[in-house]
Amino acid sequence: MLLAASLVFYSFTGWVGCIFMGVTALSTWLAGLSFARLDAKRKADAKKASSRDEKKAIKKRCVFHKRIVLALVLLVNLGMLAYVKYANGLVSLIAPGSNWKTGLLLPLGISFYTFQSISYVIDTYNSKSKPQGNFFKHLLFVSYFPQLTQGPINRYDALGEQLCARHSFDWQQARGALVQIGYGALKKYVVADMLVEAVDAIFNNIQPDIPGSLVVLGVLLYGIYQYADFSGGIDMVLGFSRLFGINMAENFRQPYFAVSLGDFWRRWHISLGAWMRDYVFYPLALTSLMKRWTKWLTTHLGRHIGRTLPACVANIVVFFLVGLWHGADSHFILWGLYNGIVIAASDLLAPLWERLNTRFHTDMQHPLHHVGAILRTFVIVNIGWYFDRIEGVGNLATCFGNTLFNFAPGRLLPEFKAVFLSANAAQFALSLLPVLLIFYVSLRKERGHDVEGEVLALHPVLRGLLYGVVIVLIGTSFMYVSGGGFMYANF
Amino acid sequence: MPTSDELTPHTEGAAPETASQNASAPKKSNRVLRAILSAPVILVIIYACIQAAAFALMPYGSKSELMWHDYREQTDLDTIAIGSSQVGRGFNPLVFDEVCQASSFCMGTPEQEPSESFIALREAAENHNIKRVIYGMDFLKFQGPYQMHPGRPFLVEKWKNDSVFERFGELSYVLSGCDWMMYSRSLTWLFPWVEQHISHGASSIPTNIRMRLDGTTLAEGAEYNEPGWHYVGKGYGNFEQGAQGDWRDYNSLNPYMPLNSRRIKFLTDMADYCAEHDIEFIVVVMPLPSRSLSSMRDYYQARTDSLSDAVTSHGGQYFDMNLGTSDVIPSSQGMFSTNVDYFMDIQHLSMDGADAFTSAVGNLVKRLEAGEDLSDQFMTYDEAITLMEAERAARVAAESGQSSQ
Repeated sequence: MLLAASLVFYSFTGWVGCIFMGVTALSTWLAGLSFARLDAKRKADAKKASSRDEKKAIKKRCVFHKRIVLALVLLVNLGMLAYVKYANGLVSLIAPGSNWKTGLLLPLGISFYTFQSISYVIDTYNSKSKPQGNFFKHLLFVSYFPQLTQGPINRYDALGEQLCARHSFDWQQARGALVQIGYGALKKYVVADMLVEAVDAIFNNIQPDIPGSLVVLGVLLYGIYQYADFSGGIDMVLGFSRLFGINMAENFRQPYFAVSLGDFWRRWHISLGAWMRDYVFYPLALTSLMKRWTKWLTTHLGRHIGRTLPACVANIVVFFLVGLWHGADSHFILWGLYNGIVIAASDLLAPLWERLNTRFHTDMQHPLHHVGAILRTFVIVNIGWYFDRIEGVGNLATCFGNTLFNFAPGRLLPEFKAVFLSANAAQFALSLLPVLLIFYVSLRKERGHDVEGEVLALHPVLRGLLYGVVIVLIGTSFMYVSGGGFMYANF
Repeated sequence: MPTSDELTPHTEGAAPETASQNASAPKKSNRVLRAILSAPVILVIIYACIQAAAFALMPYGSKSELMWHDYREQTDLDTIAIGSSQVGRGFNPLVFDEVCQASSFCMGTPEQEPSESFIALREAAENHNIKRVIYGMDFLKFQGPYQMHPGRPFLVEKWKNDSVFERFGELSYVLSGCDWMMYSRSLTWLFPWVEQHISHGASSIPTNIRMRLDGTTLAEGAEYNEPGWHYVGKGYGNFEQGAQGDWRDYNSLNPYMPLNSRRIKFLTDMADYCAEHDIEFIVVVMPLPSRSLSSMRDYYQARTDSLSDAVTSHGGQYFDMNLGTSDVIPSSQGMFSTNVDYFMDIQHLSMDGADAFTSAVGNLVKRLEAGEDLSDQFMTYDEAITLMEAERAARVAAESGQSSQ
């Protein structure tokens, strides 16, 4: 039934998208079965082998064949993804005057289900997961509809069995799921959809004399909008999935309470970070080339540099790919590189920070130190949002320059009124209360409270009022924006 | 043979398990009972919050609310006018009643879809002895995709007096032929204030609530919601003569889109219903100012011919008042469409224009019912435009001649 629902859902996007998904599902399923078959053949042949050398040769042959299958599947699937996502951009870069276009719209969720399927292929290649023998069960893993638009990117060993298992209705689970869905809808419709127009009003037509204060406001609003849109969507996805008795991996963990940029990326889009870590970072960092380089660096530049620098390079590559994954635009790539370089610098300079903290007797456990780290990370992350949101090198330079040299705080309110607030004050005001609520909930969760449990334990009258106010706010948001799409569905 | 000691261990062992099971069972049943009891409480509170929001945010005295309220007070109607805001601000029943010695009512409301017009027609026909239905044709209501949803103000206000079955039947009718569930506006029936809400911002919420509670009439409420608009009576209201409207380019506000077959089907449904119930179905194309008319040069004639064919082939009568001679639609100066006093904006009649138009429709109806053939009293689009342009040129020449003197 879930498979039927998923396929019906996806069929609304058009037959082209269905073909892409079908190719991914079929190729990755066959790959998993091929690995299993090759391994079984290796074991059978090894039993018949008479010498150790013969067994080694059998294993080498098996590994070679498995690698060919892996390479082919990766080529097909990443090739499809690259083609639909990047071909147009690449052609316009190489031949600016060309009218050539793929003529294809980006199939819904292709980035997410491709990465998810690739994780299945690599896990079965490494024998970490058993391959799925039933194509329809595998198709369900690829096409499971709640996660298609914006993730999370699930692993087969966590999700696959849940999808195929029998589930009975769990009232407690359902109650929690409904709370999660409502919270997600509040974030998406009453915060994200209310703020996106303000962000666009500030950044879609940047003038050379734009006050830096307005740029900073725009970036802050963008950070709130992006978090609310993405995490709100994810909350709804996770909540709907829980209604079916299927628990997916969390994708956000109060990211704006991170104490470092590295910590931020362990709290924001967690599934993508984990995917990059397991399938790009570790394979890259553990290559023989990297190992040799580590050895050389340790010998010549010391243990810290030897151990840290290769990991930093791998990190920068990962974040370059994260930027590229978001889109074939220079500002996404710059944003990715910015994050990678800052994390690399932070890791490389770690001994220096330790020495400074010791020198100045910094109490690392003091609450103020913790708050300071959070605020510092908040600033660093928001600098990154400059690259993420502002398109064009010229506009980026203008915005950075004016932030530093033309802040003009006195112009903030008049300019914001002129571009957005005068005509949309009610819409903007509608989002303020939910923003405070989100902050409060995030703070409670960061302190380890089970907010969902606390809500469910409230007196029914209080709970009814809370639900009623949230529902009214969501409904009222439709007065201004009739349900915009999800930002991350574009990736 | 087992001793009683050997027999007792399992019973002794069983006692603590039974005790703990018995202890947890009441807790679980208490939880379930609490959940069962709290669910209705929560649902009632959520419903109350939604009703409170609707009470505060939905405007007291919307056009649809006012129209349906006044309609329900009418007795012995024999004529109704249905259509969009062009009719709501263009057909004055008081004038029509005087011209035709009739008892009419204007059921035109803003953005009224042909499907909703059918519902209004049927409602009136079932509850009054309706002899004639005047449908004010607005081309914009027949082009482009047909989108409908259950939260439409016209339907919401109409259903206040209807049973669930009637609502369901009418909803099925208006939703047929459109993929309404694909749009987020399909949820607006849950949040009715999305479609119609106070227009003066959050600061007018207290006034809105006060008007609901202190006996303010719906007409006064409607006039508060739209400053400058006055309710004349019998479903008709308009802005003061001389009020300034939107005179932006017609084509840029209403770009061309092909006619929609589903919407035309609703039109023919109206004609068929009238034919079955021996009711005159008269379609009159609402007048437009000459600058709006001239922007439809590429498609006007074909469009009006298509709609005329649809109506007449189903037993109705069709009159394009933009193409009528001065014998059919007289004007205080020049042609009707070139008379700037008759229009408030690019598509709505002013007070004077509505009176003049309604008088013309009334006389048209009288002549039709006397058996007169009026087919030679209507021009082609090109002829009408040529006349308008000649008139405009003459006026400009006269004005420049006067100014040089």
